[in-house]
Amino acid sequence: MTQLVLGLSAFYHDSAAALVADGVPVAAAQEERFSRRRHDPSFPRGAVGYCLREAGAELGDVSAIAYYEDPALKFRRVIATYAGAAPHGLTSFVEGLPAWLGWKRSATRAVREHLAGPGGRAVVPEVVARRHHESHAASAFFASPYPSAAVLCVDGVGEWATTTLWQGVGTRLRYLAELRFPHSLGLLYSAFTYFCGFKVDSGEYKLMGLAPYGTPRFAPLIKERLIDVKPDGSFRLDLRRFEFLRGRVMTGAGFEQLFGGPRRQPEGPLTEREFDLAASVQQVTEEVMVKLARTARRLTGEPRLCLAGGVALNCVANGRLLEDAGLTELWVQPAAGDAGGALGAALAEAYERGAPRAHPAAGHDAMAGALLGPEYSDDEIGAYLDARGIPYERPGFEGVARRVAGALADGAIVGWFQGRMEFGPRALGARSILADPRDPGMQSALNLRTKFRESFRPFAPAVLAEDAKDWFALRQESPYMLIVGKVAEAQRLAADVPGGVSGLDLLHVPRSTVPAVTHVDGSARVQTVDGRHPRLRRLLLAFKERTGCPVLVNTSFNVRGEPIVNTPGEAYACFMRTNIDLLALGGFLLRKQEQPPWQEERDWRAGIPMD
Amino acid sequence: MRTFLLTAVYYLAVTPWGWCRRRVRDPLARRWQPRAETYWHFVPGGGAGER
Repeated sequence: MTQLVLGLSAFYHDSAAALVADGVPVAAAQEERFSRRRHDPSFPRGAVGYCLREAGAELGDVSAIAYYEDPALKFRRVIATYAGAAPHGLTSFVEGLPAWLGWKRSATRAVREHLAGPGGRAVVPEVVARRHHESHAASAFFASPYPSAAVLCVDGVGEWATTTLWQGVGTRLRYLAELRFPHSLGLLYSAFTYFCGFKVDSGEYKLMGLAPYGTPRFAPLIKERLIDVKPDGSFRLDLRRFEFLRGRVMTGAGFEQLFGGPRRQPEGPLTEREFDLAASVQQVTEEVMVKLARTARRLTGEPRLCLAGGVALNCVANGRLLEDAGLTELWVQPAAGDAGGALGAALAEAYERGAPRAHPAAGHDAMAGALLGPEYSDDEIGAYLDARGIPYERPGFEGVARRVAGALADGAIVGWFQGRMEFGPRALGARSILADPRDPGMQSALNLRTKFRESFRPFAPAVLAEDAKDWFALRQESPYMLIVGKVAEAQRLAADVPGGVSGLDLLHVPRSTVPAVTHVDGSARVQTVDGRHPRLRRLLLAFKERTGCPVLVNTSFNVRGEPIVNTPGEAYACFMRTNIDLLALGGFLLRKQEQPPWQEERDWRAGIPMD
Repeated sequence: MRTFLLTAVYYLAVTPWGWCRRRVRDPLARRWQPRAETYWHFVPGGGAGER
């Protein structure tokens, strides 16, 4: 009989559910995709329901529920923080303590009650709490293709740990060392995210995207006044400069004194200071990550490293690890943030219960291309379109791929909805917006008229794996778009930056033959596409056949502030609200000019909060 | 009423307790240690500290 373990992360941010059958992930999804509330922290009811449906199982068929952190241990950390910050943390204490004295302290009981449903009728399997960083480490190592590896987890905070080192061998993880709250690389990065006017736990990737526009002139000051880093990568923050122990914000007077004035207001103008702050904290983060990775290598003797935790989504730092940390290979969990903790908790519990870990011997990871979410058949898509009288062509998938390739070559922006949805924050060719990267105006068009977001935000390339080396300087594959590398020398243009051009004006300087995916420092966040993403691969082959270019712009199928689309209906709405020209829904093709006028009762943008 | 009670608990219990704890050993280990070789907490039995 199949052993099923259901993993859950909930009640902080990025709630998710994941189902593991005999040690193999069979379904995983974030709750935000069902609730349509970005980074939804609530109990993942929609995601749990999906996972069980996908496996054809009921709750009673599940052997255990694995929760991604230990609420009792976390409660002790919260109390210690209140005591440590007193008398300066009254607001945080008054606002936060009641929930902690109530349901938060026993979140596993809350999980049980949610699963039991109204009246507590459903039979709920045993609920076990794994530790937060153990869940991250398990998501990184157990899902990786390696029989053994060093494991590094770096995030904001879970219970006490903020940075942990492990060694994974087979179905076992050996816990080696940790750094504890409040000393946290994730919180350092979040503090700068906040100070630069972006949202914490959401805008960190914007800060990373902003970094290449600046000069790291504040890096020495950060290392002198904010973080003491030892040669082995361990560190402590100077908490007198931060506010997160005392209240509900990350920074205050301490940062203002150091960095010349108050924080940038959200949506305010970006200045050289924000560019330089972003560049500086990014440089410090990379330096610390390289030292941590070297220590992981030294302590374990393992040349391969697995990475998870929110900081592992810093793909620029990941690229640095491959270059400078003495590793032979790096594998990053595609759902490296807290959503991935659901999967990690389930894997940890499954292997502890004796499940086999067969995929390393087969030479691949356990993520199935991260395509672990819901899928809609052509019958379901057709039923949706017919019920609403939506005009379409139905050339079948091969026809769709050929026609889309032609349209992309002619400059069209395409909504691409194919197969199972991705698990994790990146769109990998299942729920993507695609475009021609050779068009110098495409980045601006996509940012401002399709995604309705800031002009500085970079786009990522999807490239055929076999052609990747001709276009990007990568030392290994990057199937989950989590490693940044330089555009290959052969594709670069002479960087002729006119005098006086700086900041966002750098965007207008073409740097390569694929300008829409080349960041201002000549780098790109690459997705190498192989058989794990067969439909995107087929499209890339058709595009290459037509243009000679095996690269496409690949960005998530959503607009700013909205979760990535999940259903055909959400894809159609996004298609009609934006300047996407063509929508490929499975074997169906929809052209914008053939669609009836789009009408909504109220302004849809008013319902989507700024991210 | 709840806010008043929590405020009283904070200043009459949490603050003195926190102050005393910090005098003995800061649970948040905030002080930088320039002479220390490392800030890692090695896990007993993990074997890492001996390497």
